[in-house]
Amino acid sequence: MKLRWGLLDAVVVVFALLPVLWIVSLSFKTTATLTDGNLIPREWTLENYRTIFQTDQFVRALVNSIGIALISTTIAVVLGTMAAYAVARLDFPGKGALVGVSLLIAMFPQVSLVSPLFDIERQLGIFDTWLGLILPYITFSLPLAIYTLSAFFKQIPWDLEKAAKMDGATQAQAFRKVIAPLAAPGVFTSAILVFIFCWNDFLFAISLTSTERSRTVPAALSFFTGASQFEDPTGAISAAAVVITIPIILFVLFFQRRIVAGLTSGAVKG
Amino acid sequence: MSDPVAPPAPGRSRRVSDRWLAVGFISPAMLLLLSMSVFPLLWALYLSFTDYSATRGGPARWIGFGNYTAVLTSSQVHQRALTTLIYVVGAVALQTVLGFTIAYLISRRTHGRGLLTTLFLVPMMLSPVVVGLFWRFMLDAQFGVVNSMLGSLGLGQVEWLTQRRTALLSLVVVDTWQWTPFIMLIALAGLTAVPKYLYEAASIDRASEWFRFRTITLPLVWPLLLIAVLFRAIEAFRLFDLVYILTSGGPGVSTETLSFHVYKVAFLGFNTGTASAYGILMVLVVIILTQLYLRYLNKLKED
Repeated sequence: MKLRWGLLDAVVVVFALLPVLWIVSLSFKTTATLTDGNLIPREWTLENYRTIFQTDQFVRALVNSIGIALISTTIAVVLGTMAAYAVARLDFPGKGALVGVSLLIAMFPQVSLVSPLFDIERQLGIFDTWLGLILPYITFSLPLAIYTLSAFFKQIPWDLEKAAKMDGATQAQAFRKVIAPLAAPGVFTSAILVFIFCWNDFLFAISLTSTERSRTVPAALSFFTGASQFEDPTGAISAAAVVITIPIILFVLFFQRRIVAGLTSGAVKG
Repeated sequence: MSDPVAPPAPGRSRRVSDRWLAVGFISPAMLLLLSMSVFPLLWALYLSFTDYSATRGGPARWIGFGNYTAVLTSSQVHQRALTTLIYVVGAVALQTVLGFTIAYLISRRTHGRGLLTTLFLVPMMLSPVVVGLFWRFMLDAQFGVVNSMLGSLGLGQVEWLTQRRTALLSLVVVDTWQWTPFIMLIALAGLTAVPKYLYEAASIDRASEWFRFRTITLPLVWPLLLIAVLFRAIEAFRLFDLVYILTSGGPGVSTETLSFHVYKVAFLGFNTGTASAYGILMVLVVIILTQLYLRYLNKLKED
């Protein structure tokens, strides 16, 4: 029995990790050994990482990625928290419409909207700017934020707020000391999911930008050709892919439980 | 409450202030959703009846349903629809079977679940661009690890991404790699929710394992699993990035999905009008699928 479980573990680990390990290995290989098909590099080198951090193209894209993802996440989580609080706690006309519209947007084939957005952004003059990416990112991650957050908010025992007030706390104190700590994990979870969404996006990044001014790493990667035109860019591309994967791996390692809770509530509880 | 001298009922005034608070709280989100997605959609709807091109400029000429008939009767579109169908059905079926099997095996053990789930979370959190690159290098005919493994097993080399059949198969495999974990997570949530006493009762009755699986596990987990499957089908239908990175639709057009084709019409041909009509048709398909999903979700909630 033990052996069988061990076998299962091994299969799962290989299944999930082999592609990741393969690209990590490629990123440490020298140009000469790049094509040898060995999983463990025969000669280790940091050359590929040096190359990408010396290319403006990549560094600029990394700055864009980090900036755009952080700004979008912050705004989306603030707006999402407000809307989710209203959905979970308040009674108002049009609640059904809000939930319906955001579900529809979450399911939208985004490719249908890219062409009109391209047109609109060019007329507004925000095409190929940070704002031109931040606005769609906030919009398309809001449904996700509203869903996960309202699911979390519905589980908070709000009577505690009343209890605190009965014990003499002011409204502000009740919120700060009782409700905020209970809501924080949910807000944090949705922030992680929204950040990952913005960080990973490719479709908007490639169709709403045209220069390095606002191109993010996923888009830049598809144009990346290495230090010079005549060099095989495989090693450099692998290194760049590893760099943008690091934050994701860290999130998964540290916040595994939260991510699972957020994903299952978002998809299933609705 | 009918006493005119009495102060306004607390419940009532609270509801009114609730309403204002709610308006204040949802309007920023609503405003963005309307201006950045509903408005562009209406804009696309308008453009879909014209011959507008985003780069050519010039006024848009009204051409009625011309774009729609052009899209619906185009044999190119039919071919992409077939490719998309093969891909969606293949990938979703494969990941459902795999995901459920793994979830079932994991649910029956007590130790080491956490670590396995963590590892499993990695693929689905990665950017499709990165996933596409991973696999492009893995499946590379010259230096890919897949071929070198096949080689050391004494099997032949396969040109995965440059032959029609294997290219589409590769797309299915890569999508399965990335999204099997999603099905696994949802199925695991369903499996752990099955009450233990049912199994205990069954084992007292000496029901076989297969019988228990068929009469207890499957009926109880199936509804949840179906939700996950529908969700994945909608997502797979929209697939764009993976195709772009892994095969760019090639060889020829054998791996062009509908999403990728819309993108090409919009950004390589700049036939904005046609692309808009095409996009609107895709939105309609997704709306129908979403309706199914919602109806099912609500039914599940009622039970």
